[in-house]
Amino acid sequence: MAETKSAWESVGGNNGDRIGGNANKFSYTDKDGKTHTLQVDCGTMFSDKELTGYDNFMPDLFEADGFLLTHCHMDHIGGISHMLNLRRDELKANREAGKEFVIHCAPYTQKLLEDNLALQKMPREEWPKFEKVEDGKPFEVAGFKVEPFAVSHSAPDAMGFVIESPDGVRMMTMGDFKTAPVPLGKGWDNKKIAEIAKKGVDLMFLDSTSATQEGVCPPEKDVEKGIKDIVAQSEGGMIVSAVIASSAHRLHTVAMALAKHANETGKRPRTIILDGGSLKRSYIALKRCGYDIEKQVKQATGQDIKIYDARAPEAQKVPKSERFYVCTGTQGEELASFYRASQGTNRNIPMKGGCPVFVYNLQSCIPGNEEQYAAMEQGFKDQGCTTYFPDRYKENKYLTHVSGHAKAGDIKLACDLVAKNSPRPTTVVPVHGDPAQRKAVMKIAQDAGLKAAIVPNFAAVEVSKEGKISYVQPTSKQEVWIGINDKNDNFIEPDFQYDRVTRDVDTGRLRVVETIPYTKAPVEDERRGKGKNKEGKWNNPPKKNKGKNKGGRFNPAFVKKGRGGR
Amino acid sequence: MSLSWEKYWEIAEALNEAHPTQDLIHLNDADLLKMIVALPDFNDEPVPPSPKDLEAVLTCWTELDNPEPQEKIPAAAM
Repeated sequence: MAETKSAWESVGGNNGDRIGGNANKFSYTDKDGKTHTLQVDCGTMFSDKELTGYDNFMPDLFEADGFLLTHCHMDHIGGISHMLNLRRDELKANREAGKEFVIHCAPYTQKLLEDNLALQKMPREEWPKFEKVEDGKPFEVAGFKVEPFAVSHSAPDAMGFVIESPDGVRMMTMGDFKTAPVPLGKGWDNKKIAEIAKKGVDLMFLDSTSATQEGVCPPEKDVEKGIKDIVAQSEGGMIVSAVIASSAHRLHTVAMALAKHANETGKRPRTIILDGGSLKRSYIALKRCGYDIEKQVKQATGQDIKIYDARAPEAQKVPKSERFYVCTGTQGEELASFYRASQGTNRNIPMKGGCPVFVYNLQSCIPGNEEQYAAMEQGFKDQGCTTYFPDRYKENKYLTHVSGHAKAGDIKLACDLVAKNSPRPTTVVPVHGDPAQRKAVMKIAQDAGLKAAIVPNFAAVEVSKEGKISYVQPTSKQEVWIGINDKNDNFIEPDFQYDRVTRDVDTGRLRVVETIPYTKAPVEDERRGKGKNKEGKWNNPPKKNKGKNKGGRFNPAFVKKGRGGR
Repeated sequence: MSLSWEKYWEIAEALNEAHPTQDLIHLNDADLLKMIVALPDFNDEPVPPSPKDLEAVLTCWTELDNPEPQEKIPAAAM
């Protein structure tokens, strides 16, 4: 009879140099030697295709008896569609045998993942089944007891989990978190974390992304003032702004700021007009998950804030000086709404017409995007707009963005709550950060009286029934990843190639181990009326566009750079 | 081409052509279903197998209006 053990392993996310591709393996080996596994998250990590040949990387596949997701960001869910592609045959056989692939996650996370699957045109019968996860409602999966708890992050419905093995070993993962309140849904709650800690925590995994920054990550509410100031500065003009679509709380913040500005000035509030597919999907997902921004703002301020789709006639009826456009494309992505507005080619945003235009990028430039970021601002200036593009390295006039990640003060709070309340010793394992950030978390944890350990990818932490902790170091310095290459470089009609690659931890050098064979979506050609008939001739051959964009609509043939992760 | 529920992307394409100025963010399921069933090429049951089929159509429609690559925002900025 074997000794039982509970274990955790990072199979992506604790990377040497950058954050992404998050995936955690929780396991329990029973007395018969059988291992039960729970996977938490399966994200992608962006890659510079010119350097690596891949659009994204994702964690290698492993057997899991259960699947949990912490939140909807692509570095946590982006690998799932690819995993479903790679396991198509196996999952089909399972389905036919009555065994569905089930993912446990909160509603907003589910909706954004489903959007991702739809955009990849994944056949509906291949979509996973979902089990709804709610704050404070425990459930069992794969032999583990799971206690979900809400945390604050830039995406709504972000969750942490306590995962308790049959031995009673309790492993607490916070997911991506901060401690300030969030406007939509539940967020971090000191009392709840303390209550959870009272039941005992053996291992605690902490987001390290902003651990080297002093203080506490500010609440989303702090952005309201920045937006109000922007509105005050733009009197009589049309406002065109851009946000990160996945930071869905920001829509609420903009609406609140417009309402409060109207209350303070006695003027009619501006109307929010959304442009850009991902932003509209975020809004639709919020509504489907019960987050009604207009209603919440009305209740809080008494103001009726309208939110329109930019393509709708109602949007064009709003006087220009009362419009507040919110667009996608803060970083100058070529096809995104904001960039097209900067070139005067966005038919949904009329840049001409006698009304001054004030342009605000609510996000600073992310390193690597400097050229297109500056070009976009110049494009707006060339059209006579007044622009405000914040500088990443300076103090800016308006606060237009706050992060969703815990700073040193938040991490200290989490450590203190657990140190004070857990009846048994807790070991902190920093995750989701570079080595310096993870070291910063380790120090904070130790200062709080907790044990802490830096654990790289593919190393495991094992906990015995008696609570004894041991570490299993990786046997190789070669990390294993799956490289995702869209051979078409066309996010509308991607043609994926998946390579299993090794990455040398010290040098970062990649080596292709194998191209992973997989069965493509079986009905793809049939569904689209393409493919070849029995005589080998093409059915319904694709229309030739002759270099023109039919009817002013988007022509996928013009897409040069793909998004890969979709 | 005959449209059935599994062809959700193609249904979205047909809708986008038929209703180019439709407000997508306030479109409810009942109205969306009416629009789909009214498409001349639609040839399936008037009720989708799952509400998720309707949602998939709407998701694709939002993309067809102005396709754009996925935001490449590093985790630290989110």
